[in-house]
Amino acid sequence: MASFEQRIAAEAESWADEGLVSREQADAIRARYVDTERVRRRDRFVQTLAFVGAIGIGLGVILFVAANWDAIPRFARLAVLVAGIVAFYVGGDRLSRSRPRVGHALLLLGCLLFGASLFLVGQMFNVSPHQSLAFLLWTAAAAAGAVVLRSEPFAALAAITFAGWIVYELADAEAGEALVVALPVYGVALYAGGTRFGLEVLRRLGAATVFALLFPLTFGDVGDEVADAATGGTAVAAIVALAAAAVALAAALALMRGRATAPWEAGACVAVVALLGVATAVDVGPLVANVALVALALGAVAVGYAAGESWLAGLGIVALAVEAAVRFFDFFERIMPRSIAFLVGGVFVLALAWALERNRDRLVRRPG
Amino acid sequence: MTRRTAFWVLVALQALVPVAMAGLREADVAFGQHVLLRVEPVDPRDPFRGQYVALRYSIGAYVPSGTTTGTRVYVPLHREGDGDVWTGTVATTSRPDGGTYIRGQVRGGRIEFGIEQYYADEDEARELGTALAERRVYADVAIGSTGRATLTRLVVR
Repeated sequence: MASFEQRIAAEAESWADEGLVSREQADAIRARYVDTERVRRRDRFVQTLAFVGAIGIGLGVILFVAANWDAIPRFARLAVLVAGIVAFYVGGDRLSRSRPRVGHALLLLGCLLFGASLFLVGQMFNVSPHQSLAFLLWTAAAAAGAVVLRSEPFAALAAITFAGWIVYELADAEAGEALVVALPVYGVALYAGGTRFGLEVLRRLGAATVFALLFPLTFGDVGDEVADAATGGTAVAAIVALAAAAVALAAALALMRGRATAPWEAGACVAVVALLGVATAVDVGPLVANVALVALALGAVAVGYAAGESWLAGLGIVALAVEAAVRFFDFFERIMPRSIAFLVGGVFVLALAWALERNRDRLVRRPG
Repeated sequence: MTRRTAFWVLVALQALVPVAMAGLREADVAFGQHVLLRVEPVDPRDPFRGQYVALRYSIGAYVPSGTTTGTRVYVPLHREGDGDVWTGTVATTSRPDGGTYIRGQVRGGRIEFGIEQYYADEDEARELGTALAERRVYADVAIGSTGRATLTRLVVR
């Protein structure tokens, strides 16, 4: 069945043929429905399908090669990897002209195979995993792809692989506990940079990272461990470098014109970095961390509302709901039997979800 | 540089990086000095790369004082008596002027040489595990001019 956009285009064509409207007016009517929210939603769906398919193919290729690894001579393995990388890029490039979304997915697959090849070449020569260098090379390739192809998925891959580099570098330096601080600071940098330079995917990744990793600090024991952790020079250097980048990007965001909420967002970014910095030196305690998380979540809802970004408001609401639910169970489990606590807690969370959903609907559907 | 040129440069670089990584190792294997080192057993599983045998080297025990995790060190090697097995009993932070030496990094109170894993299928890994427990396994290691080690095979005696 023809879509509304196809039907209106056919109608406009027949109106022009019948002389009801001019040819230019018919074109303008057609163009009006090309970029509707429905079309954009369908495009996003196609893009998601293409990426899921590409990732499936990539995993299949890697698993097939890995399963038959021993049977394939060393040079043939290398040839398969290199030919695969080039084939996906060339195929993606060719396909981009007629099927841009599927083509883009193949380009991304080329970069995914490049990353896999770094690890597989290491395996060929029995090299011990210094994954940190492999992740850094992968980040460089994905970041270059993001710039050259103006691609948000490549930017997301670069952000994720760089997070992988941070994880392995700190784990390698036997400073794993510093991740509780380093990753949310990195999330702040992603959010500030993504907002300043208009990279939506980095904003979303950054915001989600900050909320997800601030949450552990709201538990008293974690804050205590972070403050007590004897982290070495590598961890300190990593945290300082990430914090400097986050603050610099927040400063750039504060000076951004055309975004009314930018100074508030920049202020929140600096506040989170400061809180995490303090948390490495002294035990900030669960109260401060909880208040900070709630304030940040409310801020996200407010900015999401003011800037008309329902995803940000939604993220803030989810953070508030999770925080409220966990603290509620925490409290009632201490003062009443577990079964009653779950019963009361369940009713509370359900009521909370109902209230939040109602308010979210109002927010998303507000006029203007 | 146009965007089109930049794209092809990007593709070429991504194709060349794995080739260069493999090429450097192949050069060490082809032109480096091959030594046999005594191996000690350990046994985890690498989530990225499937089945492998974890190894430890007796020459990795001599961590120089004053070094921390990540410090690069060099272990000068010499033959054990008249045999074909090589060993080392001291490590230095400065690169030796001559002779055969292997490069490593201090990690977790030992020296690691980047050759602590040998990839094998499940059957081979099991056989090697038994031989390792009986301390009958030696590593054939190619050492490049900078002291970089590449594990070429395991020898069971």
